[in-house]
Amino acid sequence: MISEHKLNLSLKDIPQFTKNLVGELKPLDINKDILFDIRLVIEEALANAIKHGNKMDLTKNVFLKINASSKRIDIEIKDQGKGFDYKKLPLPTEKENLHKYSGRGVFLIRKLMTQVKFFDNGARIKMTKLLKK
Amino acid sequence: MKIAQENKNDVVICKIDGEINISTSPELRKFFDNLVQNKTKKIILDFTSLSYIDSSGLATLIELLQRIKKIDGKFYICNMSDKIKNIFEITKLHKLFEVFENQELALNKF
Repeated sequence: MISEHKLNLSLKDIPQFTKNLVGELKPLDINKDILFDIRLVIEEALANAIKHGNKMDLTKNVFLKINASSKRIDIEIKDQGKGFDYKKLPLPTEKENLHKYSGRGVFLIRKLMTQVKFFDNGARIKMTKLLKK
Repeated sequence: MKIAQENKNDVVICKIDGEINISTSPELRKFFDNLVQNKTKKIILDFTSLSYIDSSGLATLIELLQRIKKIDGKFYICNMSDKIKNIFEITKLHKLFEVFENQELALNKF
């Protein structure tokens, strides 16, 4: 299954969009915990793209591409911002960061996906989940 | 998201049905506001029917924890599904919150 989307969602629209998108993967018979993770990483990446990439400018788009089979799921999300320093993100699990409200999105993406790569100074993320059968 | 409130003596139990996400978090925050304004100091969040949480939802829970601590109150979480527990463990937030297997254990802790 391949799907491509050109989006200009507001933050509050993200959960319903991702829920519907991940719902389309159900025919692939993917474990529900994996679908939870896939939905979560898409949601986190979209929120980052809208908030930090496009700086909440709804005239800018976010581009999403998903290629899913029963063996792997590849997701690519790109915003129209300048990127960010993805190599220098504080670890949210450190004691001094545990109380902080933000900073868990990219961390969760890295933990839940098999492979994560950034391009265009961080304005484009490619993430892959390999599925065990 | 739906929140069902049940009072057991001076403890307020909030059963959350649905998702805590970037869209539903304001609703949970507002519900909590009312509890804090009514001087409720003992709260249990029952996650039996919580199906999903994102980082925005986690942030909201941290905010609520800090607010209840400011009025010398406490809130506990119980009945997390394995998947939600997994997200708390990955983010190490199980160290920040007091999480119980069931409602009875949480009630006995007050």
